[in-house]
Amino acid sequence: MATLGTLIGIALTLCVFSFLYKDNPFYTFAEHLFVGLAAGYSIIVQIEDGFIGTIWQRLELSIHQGKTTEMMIILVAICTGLLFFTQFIPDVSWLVRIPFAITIGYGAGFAIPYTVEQDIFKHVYSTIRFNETQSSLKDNITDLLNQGESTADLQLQFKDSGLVLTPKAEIKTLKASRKWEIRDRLQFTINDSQVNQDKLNQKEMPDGLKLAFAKAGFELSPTTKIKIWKHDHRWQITDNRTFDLRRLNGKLVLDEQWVYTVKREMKPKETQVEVLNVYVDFFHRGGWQVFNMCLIFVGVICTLTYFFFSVEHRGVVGGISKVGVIFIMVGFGAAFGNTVMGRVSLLIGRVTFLIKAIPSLFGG
Amino acid sequence: MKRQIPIILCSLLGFCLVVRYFIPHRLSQDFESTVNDWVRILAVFAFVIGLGSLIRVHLRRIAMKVSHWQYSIVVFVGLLLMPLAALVDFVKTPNQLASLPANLTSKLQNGPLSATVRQALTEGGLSLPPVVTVESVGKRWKIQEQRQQFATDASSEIITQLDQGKIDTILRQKFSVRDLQLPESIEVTVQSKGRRWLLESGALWYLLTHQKQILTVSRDTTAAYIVGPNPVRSGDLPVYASRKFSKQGSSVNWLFLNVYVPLDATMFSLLAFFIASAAYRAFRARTMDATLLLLAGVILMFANAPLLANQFWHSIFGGLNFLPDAFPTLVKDWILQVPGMAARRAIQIGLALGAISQSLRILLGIDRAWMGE
Amino acid sequence: MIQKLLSLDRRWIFLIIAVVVFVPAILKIPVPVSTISNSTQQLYDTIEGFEPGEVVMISLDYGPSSMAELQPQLTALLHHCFAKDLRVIGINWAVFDSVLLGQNEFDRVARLHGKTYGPDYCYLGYKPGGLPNLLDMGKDISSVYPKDVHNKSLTDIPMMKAIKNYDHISLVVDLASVGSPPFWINYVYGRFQQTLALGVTGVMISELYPALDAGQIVGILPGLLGAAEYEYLIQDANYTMEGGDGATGMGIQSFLHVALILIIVFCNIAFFIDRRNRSNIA
Repeated sequence: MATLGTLIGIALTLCVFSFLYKDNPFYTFAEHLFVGLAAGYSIIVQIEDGFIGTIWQRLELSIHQGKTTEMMIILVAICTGLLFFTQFIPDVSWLVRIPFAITIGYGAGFAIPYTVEQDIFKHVYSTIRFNETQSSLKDNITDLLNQGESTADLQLQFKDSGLVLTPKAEIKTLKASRKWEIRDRLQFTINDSQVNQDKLNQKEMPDGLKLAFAKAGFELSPTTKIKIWKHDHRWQITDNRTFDLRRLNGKLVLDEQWVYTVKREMKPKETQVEVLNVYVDFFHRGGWQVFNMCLIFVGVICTLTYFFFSVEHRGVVGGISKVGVIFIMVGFGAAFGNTVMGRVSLLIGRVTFLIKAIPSLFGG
Repeated sequence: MKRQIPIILCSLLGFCLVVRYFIPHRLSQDFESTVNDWVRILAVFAFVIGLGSLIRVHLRRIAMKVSHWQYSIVVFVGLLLMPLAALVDFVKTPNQLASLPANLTSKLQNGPLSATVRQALTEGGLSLPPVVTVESVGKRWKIQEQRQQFATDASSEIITQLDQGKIDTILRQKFSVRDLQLPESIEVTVQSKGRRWLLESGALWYLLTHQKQILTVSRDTTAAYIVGPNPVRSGDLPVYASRKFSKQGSSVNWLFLNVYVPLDATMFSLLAFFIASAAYRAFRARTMDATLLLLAGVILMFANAPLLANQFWHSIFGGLNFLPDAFPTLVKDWILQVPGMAARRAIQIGLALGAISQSLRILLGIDRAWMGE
Repeated sequence: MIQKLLSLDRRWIFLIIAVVVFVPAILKIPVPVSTISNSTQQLYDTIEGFEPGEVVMISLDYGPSSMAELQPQLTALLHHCFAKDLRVIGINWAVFDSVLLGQNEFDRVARLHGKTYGPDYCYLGYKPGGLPNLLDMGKDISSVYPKDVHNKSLTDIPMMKAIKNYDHISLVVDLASVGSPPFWINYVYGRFQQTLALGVTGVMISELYPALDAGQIVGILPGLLGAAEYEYLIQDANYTMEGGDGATGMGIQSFLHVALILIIVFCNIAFFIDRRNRSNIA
């Protein structure tokens, strides 16, 4: 039976592939057989999971449990469902609009709020994300922040919320604006010889590196991970914050600048403990990140302008929409590249099947 | 009326659901559950419409004897093959839930289930309700959950407790006297103005009815299991859920894996050939825009092929220290995450705006295309 | 000559593709993956961070037509989850014809890791209904799936006793070849703040990057390449010894991509020569 199955599988695969030469009866046969089987399979599924699983079992249970309201709801739903069949009876065929009305009203009623929230607000917000919450601190930290120094207590509080500061971190209080700004910079160079590079590539923490971090006043946690981000000469060290280590002129260099803004924001009264949010500001990110964020902003605006047809595309608007076209082309090109990969994978799946299946027929 | 009623129904339901979003009250959640149930059932019926139109089209082709009408017969063969296979499986054996050691066969007798068999089945992963009977059916046995019912006097305390959504200890005892164990976490739903209560805990439930100081407890179930027959002489007896029309049977499985899967997968794999010929014919750098499209496409194809992005790149540019080794992957990620993402996001925002205005037009009755107008 | 080449019968192209795909497939040329896309790494890191016992729900929203791309992703994800002692629920939310594919793969991979049906994983299958099912699972999974694919009541499945709704699920992974991701994002992430990740076909990858950037999803597995990358990651971490279909496919895919790039480059050169000839004549 298994061999017969494999044989049928191979034969049908070849029937479909025969279409590549030209349209022929074998392909047409396979195509129609598939349409029939798909419909047949869906009949089984709808009987098992639909009519029995979704409708009958629920109705039966609601009758046994004496839940009259639930039973009535199911019965009304069944009656509405039966209205689908009125389309075959000309005199009352308009009744088919009622189940359609419910399905469409349901879809629209859910779509409006969630599309606004998730497809528009969320994306607009992500496009103009000029500062981003990194973590949050309890309000009782304000006294420590006001001292203007990076004390051990403050360090601990930050560490608890997943941010590690160097002892040299400077605190600036911005008066009357409920804000504190913390500038922190970690910078050091080490000779290659101090760090065993093989170890770095094995994602282990070399002692030399640990020492270098300690010298810069930064304590790495024991769970620190190293990711080989770019082979040979660039590593990413993931601790409570992420550092890039690169090789420059034969030396390992780490240069990271971080600016945190701690903000006290208006909170609803009922929450007992006030929470301060820590932000990493847009302009205090790495230059590359800032560039990309600007590019995304420009790209979204220009592309939207291109699709905005209520204004004639001339002058400034025309220029902006032309920039939009560049983004669209890059986007579609990328989509095409991925589509090629997807289609190719499907073919690979079939070819691997044939190459495994054909020898198995001969006991191979 | 033929137009107003559907439109009013559609708008009313739609706007109620929009309002529901802003009111997270219990009532609005109940309303949503009801509507969910309703739409779920409608979806089952909607399927019949699609099937009906497929059958109609092919019947007409056969009746009119249009060119290649013979293939429409193939459609019907395919259409009947699957349900027939499911029927064969239905008549044969459905899937196994547990097994009963062969030496316990003698313990299976008409009447209540013996404790040894119950223990063996429970160890095999089958959880059985307290009252179960065995019935011999040919070479098999049917284990059927019984209707459980008892009547008892009810004190006013029990009733007050039930009304408060709690279960009195005395009532609990009355259950355990009849081997009916009530789990600790049982919820009481009060129905029909205090005369009926439903005790619920997952799939376990009892309906309580109070009339003339008599409290009637009842539970109906449909669960039934089939034991045997023994496929091999010495093997254990298989235990099945009572017969069910299902896609899980072996014949359906066989058809699915050997006929359906190859057809479906191969049909789509043809697209690889067509995309190649399309690339040959149409992917040309005619203009500046087309060149950008082409470049982005080729970069992606390059980076998506590990042989090119890793081995080839490494052997050619591996010596250049200022370029990272994973450069192709980095460029690919950048294209997808920055310029490509920006364009996609703008399109998505545009589509969302379109979807919202379309939904509003439908709810306000301006767009009536769905009614076939 | 150039004219003729530019209007070549497409069957010649088909033949080239067939040769390029069959030869490496027969020779089984292995091409290891060594660089990982960001989106794959993010999903891996998310699952890697889970504690044993946490629950991952995988929805198989693809049919046999896209099985070649998404089935290897499922296998790799299951290896990772089972090796980390996570509990896994399998469902088919949008598509009914992959119930068997999923169920068989769940059982196979679970056996390799010594996991048993019930306490460690379960498979709930398909229920018609669409959106209502997605929303109701946020309140009570058993209201949508009273029984699993084996017709066993959910109350009889040990792991499901503690899992009532999305609140008890750490991550939902939607493996999709149909339009299901926007629904999962808008309704399940949007409404229930469920952590979500996607494994998608090549065609859909680009359109989901905005969601990744907006934080609505935590990772995307990009087609067969994503599967190969994930296989590399889990093998690197010694979670499995089994070589996956993704890595095997990458060899063939690489050769096909080379062929396609060459075809594109060639037709463009021919196109430019042809254009220059024409302008010379004019």
